[in-house]
Amino acid sequence: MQIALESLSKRYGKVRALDKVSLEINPGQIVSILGPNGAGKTTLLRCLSGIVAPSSGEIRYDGERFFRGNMAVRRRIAYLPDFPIAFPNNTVLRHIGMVLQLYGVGGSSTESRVMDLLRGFDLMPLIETPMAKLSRGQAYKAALSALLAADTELLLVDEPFASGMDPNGITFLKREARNSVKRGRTIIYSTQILDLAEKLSDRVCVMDRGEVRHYAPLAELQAVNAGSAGTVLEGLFQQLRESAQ
Amino acid sequence: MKLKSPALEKRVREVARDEMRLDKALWKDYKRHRKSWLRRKLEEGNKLLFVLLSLFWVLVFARVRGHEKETILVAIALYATATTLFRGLNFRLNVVGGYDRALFLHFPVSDNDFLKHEWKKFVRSWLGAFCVFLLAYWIVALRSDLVPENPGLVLLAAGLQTLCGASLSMWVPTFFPRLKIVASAIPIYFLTFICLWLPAPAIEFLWSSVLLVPAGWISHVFASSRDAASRAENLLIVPAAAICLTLPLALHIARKALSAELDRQTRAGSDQLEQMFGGAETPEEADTEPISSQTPLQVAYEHISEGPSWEKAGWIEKLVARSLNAQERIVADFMLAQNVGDWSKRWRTAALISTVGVLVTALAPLPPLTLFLPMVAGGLWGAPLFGGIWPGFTGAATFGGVIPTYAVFPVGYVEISRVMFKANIVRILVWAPLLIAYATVLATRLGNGPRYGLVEGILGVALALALQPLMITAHFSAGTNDTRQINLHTLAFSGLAMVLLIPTIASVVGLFVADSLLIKSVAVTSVFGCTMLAWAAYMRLFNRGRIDLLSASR
Repeated sequence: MQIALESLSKRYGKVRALDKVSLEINPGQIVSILGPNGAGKTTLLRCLSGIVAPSSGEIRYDGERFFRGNMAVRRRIAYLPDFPIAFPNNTVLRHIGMVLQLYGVGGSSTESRVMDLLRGFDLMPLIETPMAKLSRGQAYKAALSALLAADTELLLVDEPFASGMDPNGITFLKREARNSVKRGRTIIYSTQILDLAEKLSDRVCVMDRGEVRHYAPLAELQAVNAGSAGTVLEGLFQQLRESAQ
Repeated sequence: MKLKSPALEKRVREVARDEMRLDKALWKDYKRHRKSWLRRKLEEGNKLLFVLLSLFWVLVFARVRGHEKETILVAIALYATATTLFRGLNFRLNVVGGYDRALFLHFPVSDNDFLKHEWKKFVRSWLGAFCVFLLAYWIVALRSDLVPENPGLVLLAAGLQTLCGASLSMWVPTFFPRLKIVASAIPIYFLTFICLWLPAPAIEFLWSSVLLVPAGWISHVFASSRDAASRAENLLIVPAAAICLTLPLALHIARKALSAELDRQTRAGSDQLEQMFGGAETPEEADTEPISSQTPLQVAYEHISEGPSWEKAGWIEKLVARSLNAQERIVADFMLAQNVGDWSKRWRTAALISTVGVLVTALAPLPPLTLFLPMVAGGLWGAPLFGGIWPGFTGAATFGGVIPTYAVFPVGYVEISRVMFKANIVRILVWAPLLIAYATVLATRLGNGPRYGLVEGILGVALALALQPLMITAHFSAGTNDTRQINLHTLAFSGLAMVLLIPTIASVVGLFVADSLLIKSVAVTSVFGCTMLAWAAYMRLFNRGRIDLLSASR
């Protein structure tokens, strides 16, 4: 799915959460969105999913302008907020089944896919457990399994590595993300963990105060930041902080 | 328990502001994020709510002329009743399972201190209510011939109303802890608002009806305070004062009950707390064994895709299922959180209530006003008069606001509305015979004849159906920031809504006042037309992305 953002802005009262953001994202990529707290990462993901309405500018998916009412496009997008949203009394299995129905995904291949995800996230013993009884990390993994099983063209994930997932879950998610990208899927996620972003990104988008400061493959950023101590992204963040001061 | 450190806050603010002033960008950023002085002041201690309530009573002042004092006194009685229910139930909710409880559990605060903190909030909220009552009774006194020169009477009425309300708001949650705010207080608040536009016969009816509640007794006493002929009505002050005197006892009993409940939660009920607020570790997690990738399949596709069975649920669910296609059933499953089967049970309860009501109406020598109650209760329970209960609209708290559940899944405005509309039509139609039969018996008992009851019953059903698009729109609206998002589109919608409100209210009033069947039919059609227009206009706002699916966090 080709994604284009054209001068996207979002204001909450006086606060400009997004300020004329323009991006082009090609299909089959993992894009990490980085930035200090309040930089506009979550707002960007919410705009892309249709939850939040941009104040100005537009989002285009495959060249077509995106509106919340366009259900055909919305079925190609999955969004997982920082806190997974699910009905508390639904069991893990029921939740996954519900999400698959909503995305119109079915067939016998889905069965093995769901099994792989349940095994990979160590969720098998919990399939009959209500979502409300799960810990935060388990609930996040259950919600993520459902969306990964739906296998949408675009997956938007807010802070997956600060979700309470255990190390095994994080490793499995990274592997699944790589496999999805090989199938042409696009994954956009926000994070504050620079090490992880360096290892799991085809492109990095660095935001600050609602603006995109850098949007490039990691190799290009390395060239920009040559000579500074620490990792590439640590150097970039240091520069951001210094420029702000 | 002190929750503020004003001296420290002041010092830190001063130092921080001095430091930020040195850096232009930082200062600009600070100013950008800080709320305006007016907003900060208004939001402190729910002052905004107080201002809005005061404005409401000023509106009442402007609306009510000359001797229409009954309208305003009915509004006071209804408001006092609603606020009693709301404050009492909300207080209990906050103490045993609310945000405050969740917050203080994470800090070294004893249950006693926590309870004291909540009591203080409760008392403050009633002080605010006292000011509102004072203002309201002043308006009555000024706008009518009621003792404007005697401020003592106004003060007494407001004081009695407050003490009586505070006392009852302690008794109600103690004896009816399961009562829901949405089902009890909200409809009465709604009635308070619309009673200002009701015609004289309806006000007369309400003026008698409010005698059923203690708040109404005080209004009646106030109205008849100068009238020697109404000595009997003045006597109502005795039971009202008696309720006020039970306040210490009510506080004592409520305190005891709440302390016991908090104690149960803290000592033995850790499971309950886990359930309420979610825990970091659960027994399931502790028992979890790593699963080998060689584990054989335990789950078949049929299990994964298995939805709730509409066919095995009750007869109303079967009827609704027939009207839904496959895709709509998926949306309905989702919007009901996969819990199909509640509608038939509710209908059975409504039928039972209505049957008892019909028998009582036909046989028991009760006052006419009480005979309406089972009909109203049956309708509220059995039919989706306010759009029904749809868990898919439930909000989930995330940082920055509350997102309705449906927003993160690919289900749209039209799809959800279609399912709700179809289901609600079926539910209202199956409830219709209950209402019509009841109305016929009631009209016969009240001497209006069965034909009158039959017509009014049919009109009631028609009105419930005609209002459905509005109710559906209201469900969507509750999960958005439409009232805070000010742009050309939301302003245009608000303008349209105001324009539509006038013919809608006029049609609803006309529906029950007009004698001609033709006018009644036109009125129903007009209501339906207006609500459909509102629904369609909101759809445009929603689908074109002019509002956020993000309501303010509490």
